[in-house]
Parts: sequence; C-alpha cells; structure tokens
Amino acid sequence: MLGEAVLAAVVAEEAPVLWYANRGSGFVLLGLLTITTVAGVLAGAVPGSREWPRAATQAMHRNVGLLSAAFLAIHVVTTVVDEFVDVRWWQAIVPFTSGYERVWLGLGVVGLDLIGAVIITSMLRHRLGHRLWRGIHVVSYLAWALGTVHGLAMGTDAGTRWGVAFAAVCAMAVAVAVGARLVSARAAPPSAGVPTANPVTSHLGMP
Amino acid sequence: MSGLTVAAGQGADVWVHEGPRLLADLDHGPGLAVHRRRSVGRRPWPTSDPELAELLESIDLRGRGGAAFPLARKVRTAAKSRGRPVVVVNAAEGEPASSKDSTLMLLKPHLVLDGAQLVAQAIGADTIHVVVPGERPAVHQGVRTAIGDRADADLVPMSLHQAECRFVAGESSAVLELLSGRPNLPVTTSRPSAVSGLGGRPTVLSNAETYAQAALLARDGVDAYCNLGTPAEPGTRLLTIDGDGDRPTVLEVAHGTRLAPLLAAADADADNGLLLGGYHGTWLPPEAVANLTVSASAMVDAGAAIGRRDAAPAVGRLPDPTDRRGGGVPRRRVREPLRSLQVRAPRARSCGPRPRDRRGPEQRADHPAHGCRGAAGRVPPPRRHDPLDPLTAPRLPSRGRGALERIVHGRCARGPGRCRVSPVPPASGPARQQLSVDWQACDGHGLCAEILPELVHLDEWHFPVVQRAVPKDLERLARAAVVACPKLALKITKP
Repeated sequence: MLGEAVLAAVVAEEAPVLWYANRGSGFVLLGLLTITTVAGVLAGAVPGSREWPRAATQAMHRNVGLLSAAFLAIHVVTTVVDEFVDVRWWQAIVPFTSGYERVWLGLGVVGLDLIGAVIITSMLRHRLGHRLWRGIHVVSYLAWALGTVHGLAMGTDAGTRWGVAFAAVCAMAVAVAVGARLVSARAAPPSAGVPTANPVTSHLGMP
Repeated sequence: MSGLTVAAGQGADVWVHEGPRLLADLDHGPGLAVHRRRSVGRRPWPTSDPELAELLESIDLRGRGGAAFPLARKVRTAAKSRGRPVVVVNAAEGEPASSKDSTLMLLKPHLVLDGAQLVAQAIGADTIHVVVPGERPAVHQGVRTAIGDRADADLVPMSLHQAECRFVAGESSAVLELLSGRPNLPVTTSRPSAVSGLGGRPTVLSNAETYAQAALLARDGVDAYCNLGTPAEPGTRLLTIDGDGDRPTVLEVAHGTRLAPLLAAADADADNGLLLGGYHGTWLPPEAVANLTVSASAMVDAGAAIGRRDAAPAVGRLPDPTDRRGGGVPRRRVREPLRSLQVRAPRARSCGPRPRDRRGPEQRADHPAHGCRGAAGRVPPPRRHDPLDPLTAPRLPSRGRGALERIVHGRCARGPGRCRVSPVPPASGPARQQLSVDWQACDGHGLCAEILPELVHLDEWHFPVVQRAVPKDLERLARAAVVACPKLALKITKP
C-alpha cells in the first residue's frame, strides 16, 4: 500500500520523494559515519571488559561502517536521480565538476571518494601490507570531516537549530574519542587490553 | 524401593522407583477412583489467592522446572494483575535428559491436575492448559483420559496441548507461544507471564511437579508435608538419573538425601564426574559428588548452578579437561531437571534416544539432534549445520545464545581454579585446520583470545598462546578470530 503510493508519487513526480530521501539519508549518514569513526577510534583505545570486549567495538565499527556505505549509496544515487538539482553522475564522482554548489558538493564528493578507497582497501586488507592499509584507512578522519562540512555548508536543514545541534554532537563525539585515544596511547601501549572471555562479540554478527 | 518400568513413549522407557509421596502406591495405577480414595478426608482447599499464597509460602514451594521461582509470588502477581488469569501446567520437559514430569503425568496425573485446579480456583482462572511433550504419545493419551474422567467434577475446564518434539519446546515462553498458536519456540518477553502471559492475561505457568507438590501440600497440610526434607527445604523432589543401564531412573527423594547412594541404585557412578541439571547443567567433579545432598543450597555450595538463572554453568577442577577428547569422557549424569539457564534460543531437536557415550564418530549417530522418534517411528535425517544443533551451531542471534554458547563451548567466567569444560564434548575427528601466528605482525591486541578463548589464551605480556589444531566445531570461530585480528597476524593453515 504505502510502497505503491510512494512509487506512484515518484512516477508522477507529485512529491519530491527522492529529494526528501536525499536529505534524510544525508543526516542519517552523518550519524552513522560518526558512530563508525568513534567505534574505530575507540577500538584501539579502550581496554576490553567482560561485558564489552574490544572485539565487540571492532565488530560494531565494521558493521556500522557497512551500513554507512549503504546509506552513502542511497545518498549519492538519490542526488543523481533526483531532478530537483541537476547533478550528473560523473559530477557525483569527480570532485568540483558540479555546476550546483561547486565547492561544497565537491567536498562531499572528495569524502565519498576517500570512503570508497577506505572500503576497497579494507576488503583487500589481507592482500595489502598493514602499513599501506593503515595509511589509507586514516583518511577516514578527513572523509568524516569533509562530509560534515559538506552537510553543514549546503544541507537544506543545516540552518535549523536541530541540524546544527546534531552536527555539533557528532563533532564532539569524534573529538572526545580521538582525545581518549591520544591519552591512552600516551599512557600505555595499545596492547594492554585485558583478556576476557567473550560472549558479546558473537552477538554482533561476526563474519 | 520397588522398581517399575514405565513406557513413557517410544524409546523412552524409564525405571521408576516407588517414592514416599508423589510416587507412592504405584501398584493401583493412575485411575481417578484410586486417586479419590486416597484423597478422602482431605482438607478443604484454600479458596482465595492470599490464602493459597500463604500456604505455599509456608514451605517456600518453588518451581520444579529449573528456575526455582517461588510459586506463591506467581500466584500473588497473577491474582492482582489485570485480566482473567489463566493456569498452565507445563509437563513438556523438552530436556532430553529429564523424564520425571512425563513419569509423573503417567503415574499420578490426578495429583497434578488437582494442583492445577487448586491454583486456578484460588486465583479465579477460567481455563487450565495442560501441555504434554510431543515425543511421548503415551503421556498425551494418559492425560487425555485423566482429564476426560474428571471433567464433570472439575470447576475449571482444562484443555490439553501437545508440545513439539524439540529441546526447547518446554521452555515457558515457548509453551505460551504454542498455546497462542504460534511456533513452539522461545521468545524474549518483556514482562513476566504472571503479569501478562497468554493473550496478555496474567498466567500462572509452572512445571507439572510443582502443581503436584501444591496438591499434596493442600491435601496433607503443612505439618505432614514437612515430615520429610530439611527445615529449609521441606518435602521431596523428583529426579531423573541416567546411569549405565539402558534406561534412566526416575525417583522421588526427600530433600537432604545423599546423592551418592541414589546414583548407585540407579546404576550410575560419578567416578568421572557428574553432569547435574541435564543439557544445561553443570559438571561436578567426583569429590564434590561424594557428599552432595539433594537440596538447592547444597548444590549451590558444590558449585552447581541450581535454580539461578545467571549462574555460569562451569565448575572448577574436573580431573583433566583434555580427557574429554581421549577416553575420560565424564558420562554419568544426574538429570536433576533444574535447568540452570533459561535458554531463549531454539536448540537441538532432542527427543528420541538420549545421548549416552559421546565419544568418537558414533557420537553423531546417537546425538539428540538426530531427530524425534515420533509416533511414526521415523528418525528424520540430521541437518548439516543445523542451527539448533549445539555441536555445529552457527551463532544464533538472540540473547539466549550467549548462555547457550557458554555451555556448548565452555565460555564461562574464567578465574583461578576454574577450567573451561563444556558439558558437550567437542566434535571429534582429525582437525582440518591449524592456527598460526605471524609473530612479526602480532602486536598483542588480544582480540583472538576474546573471540576464541577455547584455543587462544594470552600470556602475561598479552601475547597469544595458541593451540594449533582447530576442532571442527570451532572452525567458524577461528575464522572470525582471523578476520578480527587488527594486524592480520593470525592465520589458518592446512596441517
């Protein structure tokens, strides 16, 4: 019923469904990427406990990251398909070629490309050297920052109070996580986790 | 003690020893006339819920299904909750190691049904649902006859249901699902069934033996009931003991009785340890069994998780944990049907022959996962990677899985003096995979030990000490550990 209604609306272009999907997925994406980043940062920082072992943080990082990739795909595809703004498909891949919001959209595209690189190298991790993989993986910080700026600068809802508040909370979360990791790296080598039996990881859909 | 064989169902015969109360006077059969003659001159039943709760509290009668929950609290809660209460008698044990409820339903159905009527009348219930195990058609038949015989005298109508042939079919939420017309599988519930159970109505659901004990208490009075047992735990308890014989023994013993002579009588010894509480139970070392008595407190003292939901199912110091792979499989088990953990994940289909010696390849053949000998007598072929089979189980996505896995893989809180011993010996056969560590890469993150504590533990510098050969049932976990390694230092190789 609802699906049919939505489909009909899309076909008839009565409601800018794609446009709303685009805006909404952008916001969700900010949250998901923030969670992914925070989990990734903390995976190497916090010692495991029995209730929440480090493998659980790692699994969360991976799985939420995968979910972010799905939302990123939705976000990009809706941008291209929707005709409310004219963004062609290559403009969604090659940075700074768009006629619409050249700079701010370009930042988002750079973020997209970086995340693509991170995903591909992570999938090929077992074939790459650890250093190369890690070198590319740290650009996720940049990708997250670019994505956030992209959203704040050109997001339709970025001007709203709740939009700004959400972005601020996300930025704060990442900042705190990075701070915690820097502190713990100074205090102790990363390997000083407490070994524990672990009933939790298995809940998080390990591959 | 006189012996008696009860054909509880195909391939499920049990030896029954006559006992002091529930299993007394077996010679006269399960008929209603005999039962009524025994009950002549009984006291009037308590007629209100506070009265009944008080009576139950006076001896602290607890559920005999495993969780040992006070029945009085269920009664009070159900009586004061919104809606017309329902009473459910759960005789579907599900646990393949337990036969005591089926035995009771066959031999003394009216005692159980009396107890259910007693509770139902006191709390004003309008229906009693009786659930019997699917794998024991004889029980279904017997209870159907019993309910039919007494229908005209009963104030609260009773309806009979048959659970599916499945390990967890007797779990309380699974029973309520069955009664609601949904698949007979456990679910996670947010509210206790006494508040909101069947169809959202307050539901008193308890084990069959619990109702029989309540009926005895009401019939004989507190003083007579307390003649047997200990001051803290008066009365008796049914046990299923699975020894060396070809069938398990069901007996009724007073609380405080020493366990060792009972084991001997049931042709079981605990030289290699004892599994207490069935499939979800606890291994006890022989020295702990020697002086163990049948009582909840003594079993807790011995390290067995009796009636505690949160208890870790492992105990310390079995003679040698590695023995289970070789010849020393501890295989005597007492099936005190106290399921220490309320597992909410579907598990082994488990009717049919009970597991006995589970060593070597033949272990697969007699594994309880290998199907239910139902009325048709056919044994369904085992499914590969049956998600319900504890030996090959891929991880199940539910809260209960942790508990289940902790048992299957011996995942438990480990501390000094504790060892990782699983009540289910791991799948045997030559290992197809080996674990190896790239020491150049390993940074001691320790994630492998979190995911695979069975094969990896960390030394004092937090570097992994790895057991190379990967048993078949741990291959999935081994892969997960390899993937999780932040440094890609853990590898699986072929031997």
